[in-house]
Formats: sequence, C-alpha cells, structure tokens
Amino acid sequence: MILIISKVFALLFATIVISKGVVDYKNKNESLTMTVFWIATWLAITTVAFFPSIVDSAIALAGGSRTGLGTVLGIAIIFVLFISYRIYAKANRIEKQVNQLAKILALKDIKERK
Amino acid sequence: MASKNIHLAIVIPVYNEGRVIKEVIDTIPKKIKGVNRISVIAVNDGSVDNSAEQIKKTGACLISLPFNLGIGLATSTGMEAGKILGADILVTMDGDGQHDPRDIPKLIAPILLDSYDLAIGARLINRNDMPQVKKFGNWLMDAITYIFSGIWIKDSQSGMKALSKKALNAIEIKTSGYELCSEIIILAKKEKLKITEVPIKTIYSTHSMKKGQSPLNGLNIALKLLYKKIGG
Repeated sequence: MILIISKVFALLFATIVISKGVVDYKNKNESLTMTVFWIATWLAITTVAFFPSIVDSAIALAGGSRTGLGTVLGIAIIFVLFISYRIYAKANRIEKQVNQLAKILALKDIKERK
Repeated sequence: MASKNIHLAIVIPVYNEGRVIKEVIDTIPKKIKGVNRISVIAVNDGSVDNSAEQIKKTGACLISLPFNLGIGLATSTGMEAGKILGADILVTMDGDGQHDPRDIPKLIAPILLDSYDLAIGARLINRNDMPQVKKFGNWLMDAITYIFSGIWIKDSQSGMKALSKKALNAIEIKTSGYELCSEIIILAKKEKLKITEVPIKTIYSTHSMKKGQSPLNGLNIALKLLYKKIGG
C-alpha cells in the first residue's frame, strides 16, 4: 500500500515540478541548467519510487548490506525537510533585507526634507 | 499629555485605492480639539492604479514603496515617517474607506488624557452589518492573537489604531503582511503598554468589502507569528 502511495505521489509531484519547470524556462524565469537539474532530479525520484530495487542494488554495489525502502524514504524525508528549512530561512532573510531596503529608499525624501 | 504642542500623524497604507483615497483623506478633520498640528502620511504600497495621483491632489505627504510589499510594511514605513516628523500621537487607518475619519477624535482621546498608549478602534458600533464570514475570520484572529499575547481584544484585526509617542518608540514591527495587527498587540503587551479599545463605526461599501483579508489567511498569519516567536 505504502509503495502504491509513494508511486502516486512521486508521479504527481514530478508532473507538477517538471511542467512548472518547463513553463518557467519558457517564460525566461529559470535558467536552462536549473531546469535540467530539477527535471533530472524528479525523474530520478520517480524512477526510484517505481523501481525501489534499484536503490538496493546500488547500495549493495557500493558495499552496503542493510538495504530497504524504509531507509531510503527516511533519508529522503530528512533531506527534503532540510532543503525546505534552508529555502525558507534564506527566503525569509532576503525578504527582510528587501523590506529594509525598500523602507530606507521610501523614507529618503522625508529624511532629507526634515 | 505633558507636551502642549500636540502633533498628530495619520498614516494610511494605500494599495490600489484610486477610487476612494482622495475622499478618505479629504474627510479627515482639519482641526481636532487638543491637537495643534495634523499631518497625513499616505504610503503608496506599489499601487498600479492612479492612487499616487489622487493622493498628490490632497496635499498629503506621499511616501512611495517601490513595489507592493504588504500592508504591514506600508504601515511600519508610515510609522517610521511619523517618528521622523516628530509625531506625538499616530493614528493608522485603512485607505479603502471602511473607517470613518470622524472617529479619530474619540480614538485619540484616551491618549490625549495620558491614560493609554494604544487605542484600538473596535468595529463594534454596527457589527451586525458585518458579513458572517468576516465575523468568523475576525474571531479566529482574535483567538490567535490571544494565544500569542495573552490578552483578549474584541477586534484585534482593526486597522484603525492610535499610538502614543511611547508606543510609537517601543513598537518595532518586523512583519510585512496582515499579521501586523496581531504583532502590534503582542509587542504592546510585551512592552507593558496600556491598551484600550474604542468602539468605532465601519463603512461597508462595495469597494471596502472587496478588500481586507480572507478568513483562510488566519493559518498563514499564525504560522508567521509562530516563526517570528521562534526565530525572533
């Protein structure tokens, strides 16, 4: 059941991210490198979701013995949470800086007049 | 008030209010008992209509933000301008015409009497005219504000407020969106400022009904306040 859900979600998110990526690239809001990077990443995620044995084989090939989808999903969730946190923190910091800058510019005239 | 020469600054954040902003500013009383000077500060928050031209016609002090940054940032910019201009009392009111500027004298009365530092214009006089969905949204935000501040305010989301000089200097707004209303109350409580509510009238026009925040925004505001509490 978990496997089916993860397949559905991976396919759904991959479709959304890839289509949005292509639209952003067409509208010149995203570079070709980043578009290709996200498409490749999501294609890889979808492939793993549909064929989890690939990960087992890869880990075994690298010399690992303890394999399984649970481990992979756990690592993936931690990675996603970390990335989300970093993006949110960075966006928040940039927002504060932009706001501060906008405020300084807007108040420049009134300060000079004073 | 200790100072005899009272300067009142009225801050109006404006975003695409070209249809009504001139009338809103023109309705502001020219003289108020106990006040010697009145300055109107209109903060144009990146409007894409003719708001700026309409404000210029009124002679109000126009401050322009380079693009739309949110009502919170527009208001805090106006508050900063009030400080620069040396305001003794600062009133904030919405630019969509939902507040009656004739309520300003009674809103600032508790501050003029030195009794309070923050007076919130509670939209209670014609509360029955308020749509049910807005009533529920406001109640939800009152509850969220209570969780973060510890005080129950009957209309925490009212954009019409009056601040004393002490409050103006003590309150430093960090948020940029609609969470501003809750943040002012949270900071006022933290700074141990005296808070009161003054019943005011609300004007529900077709234009003002289109404005304001959605009740669904409550969750977003709660998350932002939580993030601010954790992150400082």
